[in-house]
Amino acid sequence: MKILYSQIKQLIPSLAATPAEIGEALTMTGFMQESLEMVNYNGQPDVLLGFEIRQNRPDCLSVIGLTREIAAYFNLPFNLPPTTELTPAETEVPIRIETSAVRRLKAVKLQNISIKPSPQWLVDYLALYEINSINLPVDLSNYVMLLTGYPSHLMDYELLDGDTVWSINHQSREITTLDGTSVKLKDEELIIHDRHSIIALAGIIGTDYAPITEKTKIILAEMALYDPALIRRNVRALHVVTEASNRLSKNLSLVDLDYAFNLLINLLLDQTGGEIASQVVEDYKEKTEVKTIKFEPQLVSELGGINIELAQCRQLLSQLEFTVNDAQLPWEVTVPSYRTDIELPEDVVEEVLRLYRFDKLPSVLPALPATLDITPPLTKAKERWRDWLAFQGWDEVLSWTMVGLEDNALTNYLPWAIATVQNAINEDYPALRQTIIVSLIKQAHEYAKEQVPELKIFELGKVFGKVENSYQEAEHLGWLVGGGDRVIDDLRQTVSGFLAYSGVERVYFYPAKNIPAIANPYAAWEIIIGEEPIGFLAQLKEHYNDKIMATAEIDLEQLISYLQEHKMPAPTVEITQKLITLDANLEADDRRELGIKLQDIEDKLGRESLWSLAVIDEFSLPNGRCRYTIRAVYKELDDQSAKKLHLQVFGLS
Amino acid sequence: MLGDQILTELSTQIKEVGSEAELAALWHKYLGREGIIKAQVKALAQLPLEEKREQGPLWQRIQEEAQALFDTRAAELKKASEEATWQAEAQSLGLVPVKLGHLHPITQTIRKLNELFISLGYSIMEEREIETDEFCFQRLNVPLDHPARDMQDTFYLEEPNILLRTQTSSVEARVLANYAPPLKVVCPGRVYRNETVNKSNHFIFHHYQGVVVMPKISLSDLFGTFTALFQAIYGPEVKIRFRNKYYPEVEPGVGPDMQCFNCGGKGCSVCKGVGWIEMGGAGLIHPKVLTMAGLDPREWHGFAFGLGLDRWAMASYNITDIRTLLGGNLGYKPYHHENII
Repeated sequence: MKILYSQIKQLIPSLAATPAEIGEALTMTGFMQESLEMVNYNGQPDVLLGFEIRQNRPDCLSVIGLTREIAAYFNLPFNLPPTTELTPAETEVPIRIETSAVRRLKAVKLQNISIKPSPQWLVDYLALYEINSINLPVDLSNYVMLLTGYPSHLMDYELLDGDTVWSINHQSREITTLDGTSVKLKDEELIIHDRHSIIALAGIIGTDYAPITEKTKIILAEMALYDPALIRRNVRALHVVTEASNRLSKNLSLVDLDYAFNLLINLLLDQTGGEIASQVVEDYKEKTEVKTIKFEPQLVSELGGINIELAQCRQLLSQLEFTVNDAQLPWEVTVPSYRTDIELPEDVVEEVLRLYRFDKLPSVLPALPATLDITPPLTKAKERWRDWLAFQGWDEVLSWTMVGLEDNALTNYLPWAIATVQNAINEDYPALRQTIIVSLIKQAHEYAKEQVPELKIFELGKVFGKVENSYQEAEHLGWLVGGGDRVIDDLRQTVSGFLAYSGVERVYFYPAKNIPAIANPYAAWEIIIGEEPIGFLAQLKEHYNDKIMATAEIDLEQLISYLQEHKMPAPTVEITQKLITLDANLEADDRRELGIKLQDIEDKLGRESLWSLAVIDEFSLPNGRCRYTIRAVYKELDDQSAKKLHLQVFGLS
Repeated sequence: MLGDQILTELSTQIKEVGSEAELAALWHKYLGREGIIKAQVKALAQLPLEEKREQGPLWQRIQEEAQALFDTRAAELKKASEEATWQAEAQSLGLVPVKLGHLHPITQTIRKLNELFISLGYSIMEEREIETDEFCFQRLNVPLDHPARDMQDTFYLEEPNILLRTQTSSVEARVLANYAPPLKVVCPGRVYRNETVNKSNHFIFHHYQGVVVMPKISLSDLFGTFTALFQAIYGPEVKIRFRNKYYPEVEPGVGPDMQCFNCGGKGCSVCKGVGWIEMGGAGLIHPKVLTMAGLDPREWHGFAFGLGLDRWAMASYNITDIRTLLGGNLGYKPYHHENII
């Protein structure tokens, strides 16, 4: 919201503060200064200050609102522009309100209006706010909006057909707004219409029907406050944002509409020479009660962390036009009508403290009592894992979690559907990534473009999917590396090392069942811990700078769950007898079946006797099966006992 | 004597030997069955007993001294040969430097902050990125159609209820709902806002949220915590100011600013001429937020703060384009922090 320094001085004649001091004061009390421009206004050098207005202070989307804040801060008297009571005529105005979304409305008919161009001061004034001059009545309507924060709407009464009605639209139809934009209405829009046409999207913008032109003789002037949530929904649905909608989509005071309406009509009559030609129509069903809050003033000191005297609390509140009845505790604090944001004692505390200024409060690092450490194990583990990966030579990248549909389809190996965003700003990236691999490949493409010689990257992050209409996400770790012939072996070693470092005793790599299109189908494995797949490892079909690319990914949440259920026994043993190595052959369809057999053998052997079990050779049989040579190393057994056990568990006896 | 002459001759010849094979040949020449020395020893058998007694020990000494010459030379050759092998093996190993990896600037920034807060006894919480409207907005005192929703453009998976979190305050809402106070928690994480990507803005960025719930807490405690946080990042000389600002989830609300590091508060393009840079949002947790979490605001108070991490990371690592943080042109120089042979 912009405000002229000269206008502030006009409303607070005793103000001595400079524009910079005003800027600092409002910034510290809740209205961040955004700009300070030297301008020429009304033939005089002036300063135009700009402030960011808090979302809960629509009263300050006005010159009067901001000036009131300045007066409160500097504790100076403030003059509202004067108005006189209206003298209505007898004639009724045919207005109908058919919706409860109209919270308060005032309207009146004015006749013998002279439509002429605005005086230069008004044209220049509106230009400061980037509002084009139309004609004097319309400009005055905009002027009053800037001054008070209350938008109004003027209609050419003689162009209206029958009753002027406020209702909710339920038809699909198209309108053209005053600025010539075509807007398609769908449903649930608050509209003003007559028998013939739509006059306005209430609270947002007028249409090209019944506007004020040089031919206008009679004006129907209305000012209304609506259900701000409905205006917001209409604005979002129709994508029409205006100065009026910006104000009317917030909770402006119903009470203060009186003053703004009177000011508007006073100015119109004064500047255009017209007269009131009707009763003042008013629709104000649910009148606003005066708000009083029971307030314990010591709460200010408790929440501020500093002792503020009661007298000072009272003084600061009175500067802000709150009325304080301090006859007894708790105080009764009456809230000014324009402060729709004040509801609770804590709101009153903020008022006192912001005017006291936060920068006068002490800043002390508190010695807070100890609390339970609720850090999840995964969060702690991720930090250890990142360090381990970096020490192994892997560089961490973070990448976009939103990707193209096709990219997901090419890389996904998990049994879930794609989760998409309904309103993605970039249509090329509407989907949430299903794997880390998809992001890492994109990174590799960027690195290739930049001719980065070496590729050895990892990412820890979220992946997303949809299972039976339920959105799911999981923390994954992905690797991508470019290298020579041994790159797959090296990556498998890294994954195994990582899992061992994490506490997993046994890792298996079985030929993958779900192989994404980007992977070499002959070099793709499921990573298994326990009996469950935890990830995927593969050579990619594409290369990185003529190097083979290999990728792997594991589900870290699954890993943490596994680790919590399977505590790894300490690998340290005391060797009291020589180790005995014996080989045996096993037949299986594939590594998966072999793994199950080995698991069974391990279970039979138990930890007491087994040192290690490894596949040392693989031979394809004519029947399509494979023969695997298994090397078992036994501990704590003599030769004879080891051999006996070996023959027994491998079914050789 | 002949034996000494032979030893002198052997000493000369043995120095010229360059390999174990040559040494073996020379040994056969002198000490082999048909060797020069052996021949002399065999010839002793033809001598009279008296002479045999005199010559025998002398040739025994000659034999032993000759063998010692061979042993010494063999050791020398072996050592030379091993040196050559080691040298050749070492050369074949090459000079590949050890590569260490790097952690992402955002990770490192989070770690710096985590270190401080862990030392102050805080827990670290992370949560889901796909959130519900309830936890991203409503439980933070932002009901449907509240004007504060204008502050954040939201990505919806299923409007209006399923969305990508716009702030890590959603983690605060989850923590308050799931854990009993007292609580001290920080929550780093990725957030999403439906904004056009350019040099300064991204639709994916990173927040750092802090939440404390205690029987008593004040703005003074919040300011002290925030000051410690800024000092941890920027050093003890950093200048901070706290001003009033509106956030629906807190009351009173606080806008912490840092004096511009570029101009020292005089005003420049970095701080848009105001001398201060906005560094996030904070405040005392709104009584309605506590009530929605099932806490009695008369018994419990709290403070919360939130920071954007990306700009901090960019400033620390001299990154000028926010897209670099999540893009392919964030590089790590290979020999930085590495051991080079």
